[in-house]
Formats: sequence, structure tokens, C-alpha cells
Amino acid sequence: MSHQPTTAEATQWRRRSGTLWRWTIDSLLVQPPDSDELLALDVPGQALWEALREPRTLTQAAEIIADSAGAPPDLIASDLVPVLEELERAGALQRVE
Amino acid sequence: MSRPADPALTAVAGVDLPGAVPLPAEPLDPSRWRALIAAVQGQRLVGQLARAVTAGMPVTDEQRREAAELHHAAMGQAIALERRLLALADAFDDAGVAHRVLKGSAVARLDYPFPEQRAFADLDILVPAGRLEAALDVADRLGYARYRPELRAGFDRRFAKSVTLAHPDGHELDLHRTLTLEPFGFTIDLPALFDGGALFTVGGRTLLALERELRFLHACYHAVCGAWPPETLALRDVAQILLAREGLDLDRVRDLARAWRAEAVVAHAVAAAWERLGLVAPHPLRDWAECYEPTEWERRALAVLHTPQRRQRERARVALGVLPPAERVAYLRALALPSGSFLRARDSGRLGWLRRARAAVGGGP
Repeated sequence: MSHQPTTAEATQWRRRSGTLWRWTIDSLLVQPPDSDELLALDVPGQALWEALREPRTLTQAAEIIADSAGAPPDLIASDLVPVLEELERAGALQRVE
Repeated sequence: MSRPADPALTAVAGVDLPGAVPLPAEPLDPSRWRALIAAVQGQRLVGQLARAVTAGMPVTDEQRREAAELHHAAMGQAIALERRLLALADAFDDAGVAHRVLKGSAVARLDYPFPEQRAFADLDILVPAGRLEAALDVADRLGYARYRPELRAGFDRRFAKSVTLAHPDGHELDLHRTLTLEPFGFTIDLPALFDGGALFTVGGRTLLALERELRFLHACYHAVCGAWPPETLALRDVAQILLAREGLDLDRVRDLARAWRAEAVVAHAVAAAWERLGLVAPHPLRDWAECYEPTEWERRALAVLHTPQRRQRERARVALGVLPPAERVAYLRALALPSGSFLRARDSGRLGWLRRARAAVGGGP
């Protein structure tokens, strides 16, 4: 299966239905559907998860996070790429076709 | 009934409730912290501790790390249980078994501001009495097994509070026919539990819980007729459902409690919640609870539940008074003549069981 690159401007991302999550004192636990694995997201992952309450592109998510983090959206976006890829690989996020 | 000795535990147990005891002003010393952690674990108040820490309760770095580890484990367990809950809900739907999620995930998601504030350790699902056997078949296909055989064929769907099942991964599922043990479990209008329902969402899937007034009554039953003395988390649920949001219909609560002969249960639960959590907030149901005089039957029913043994024969004596005559015969027959498989599982002789059953009816020792 060939995918567009993660950074493709038009690609929207969403939380995959059936994914379960809970905040903890210092982390966010996420479990994709059909998996027993618990992912403990760090701060960039938590911010991304929150930004993807509704489907968004990487750029849109980075702009939302940049607003609260006070950092340039480009820098945020580059930090988010590996997180996005990991969450997609784990099955917690999916592209909106 | 006594309040927790340390006000820090009372404050954590009541965190965010109106009129609750204030959180400590500085980090607890090591011995008080150890005692707090032990109590939090014993009373399953990890969600409340996490909320207290994130709400600004002063803690050392080490204490924060310890609280975070406990919360991490509790929330991991909640996720694992909700995964199983989703599988059960799908399977019940496929089999045409109506169901309502009780306690745990339902209360965490419907009655607390954030589900992270309410830990839980098992699953509780209510099914119609007439569909309990179908529900047990569904659970069996998903790998659940009951701890002990049925007392006698048909007993569970007619008289049991619930059937407790174990999953190979170690968690428990209580499949409920009613909300509490006899005697009070016999006076609940079971079909009414399925009138309406409250929707909540887990992982994008919609599930059904009891309506809010029924959740409140169930919390009261659990607090007063479950473990004795009441668990602090059970009392927190009572206060949470009553105080945390507007809109609980108190008239409906009292009408249902009266119809189900459970006014003493509600009064007891509310009074105990205020006492244990150190609440000072006025509330009309608390005022009513302070003045409520239990009926003679309620006194006897509470008395048998609040003895250390809570023996079935004692509960049966009180329960017989509220069973229709035809049901009394079947109930007593089941107590007197349990199935062979039940007896073998109990490693008990029939004569011993018969003596106990006779004592239930005739009052012998």
C-alpha cells in the first residue's frame, strides 16, 4: 500500500474510531483498536492528539499548537511528523480519504 | 461509622465537591504520605488523588512521581476494561440482549467531569432477568467463566443479584439481574431499569447506562448494601452524582426509593457520604436523610446486611416478607436443595446445606 508522504499539505488526519485514551497526571495513554499496546504520549504527542479532536492537516494542527506553545508553526510541524507517523503506524490515527 | 483519621485523605476523597475539606497546604511528611497512598490504593481513590495533584495539592517531586505511577496503572486498567466492555456490548447487541452498563466506565464518563477522575477494577452490566441465561452464553463465547455453579437451575434469573465471571486475562465481569443483594434486591422494579437510559461514548461507540436518578440509587445501594463499612469511593459516587451537576430529579429519586422500599438506603448513603467526606454543603436530600425514620422492615433489612457475615439465611428471613408466595417456595427450595454441582463446588455436604436452609426458615441455629 503506497501512502502520500506524511507532510503532504492536503492530507487530513483523524483519530481512528475505536481508539481508547485516558489522561494521566503526566502523560496520555492511547490504545489503538485491535491492539493491546498502550502508547504513552509525551508532550508533542499530547498536543497533537488534542489538536486532532477533529480532522486536520499537519499544518493546521501545527498552527493550533503554535498558538499555545508560542513557537513557529514550521518548527512545530517538523516535530510533529515523527509523532504522526508513529501514531499512524500504531493504528491510532488515520488519514481522511 | 468513622471518618478517615487523616484530613488529607478526607480532602482527597472529596476533591472538587462543594463544601469539601481543603487540600493540604504543604507536602505531607513521609509517614502521612505513605498512609495516604495506602488508603488511596485500598479505597481505589487513585483518580481523586490524581485530580488533587493536578488541582495544586502540594507534593514533592517524589510524591508526584509516585502518584503519577499509580494513576498510569489505574488508567491503563480502565482502558483495558473498556476494550472488553466494547466487545461485550457488540456481542450482546448481536445476540439481542438488552443491557445497561453499571458503575465503572458509565459513572466515570457520565458523572465525573473527566473519566480520569474515576478508577475502576471490573465490569458490571445489567441485563433483563429473563435474558440472563442468554447473556451468560454470550459471555461464555467471549471466554468468561463463572466462579461457581448456579445454586439451582433457574435461581440466577429469578433471585440472584448477579453472576460473577472471570476472564482469562484476570478481570471480572458481574452480570447483574438486579442492583443489589436481597432483601433490597427483591423490591426493585426490574423492568423499570430498562425504561430509557443514558447514552455515553467509549472509543466512538455509543453505550447505554442507567438514567441519572437510577445511577444515583444504584450508587446508594452499592454504598450501603455492598461492603460494610461503606467504601469511600462508593460514597464519593453518591456525593458526585448528587452534587456535581445540576439536574438530579430529587422527587423522582424519592418516589422510586419509596416504591422500592429503599428510602432508608438512600438516607443512609447520603448521611454516610456527608460524614465520610467531611462535607458541609447544605442539600435538601441531606436534610431529608437526617430526619428519615426507617420502617421496621428497612431496619431489619439493613441490620442483616450490616453484620460481618451477612449470611444468606439471615437475608432470606427478611427477604421472604417481600416475595410473592409462589416465589417464596421456589426461593426456599433452591436454598434447601441446591444442585449437586453447586454443592461439589462448595465442597459442602447436602446435609450441612439443608441444616442451614432449615435454620433460614425455622430460625434454628
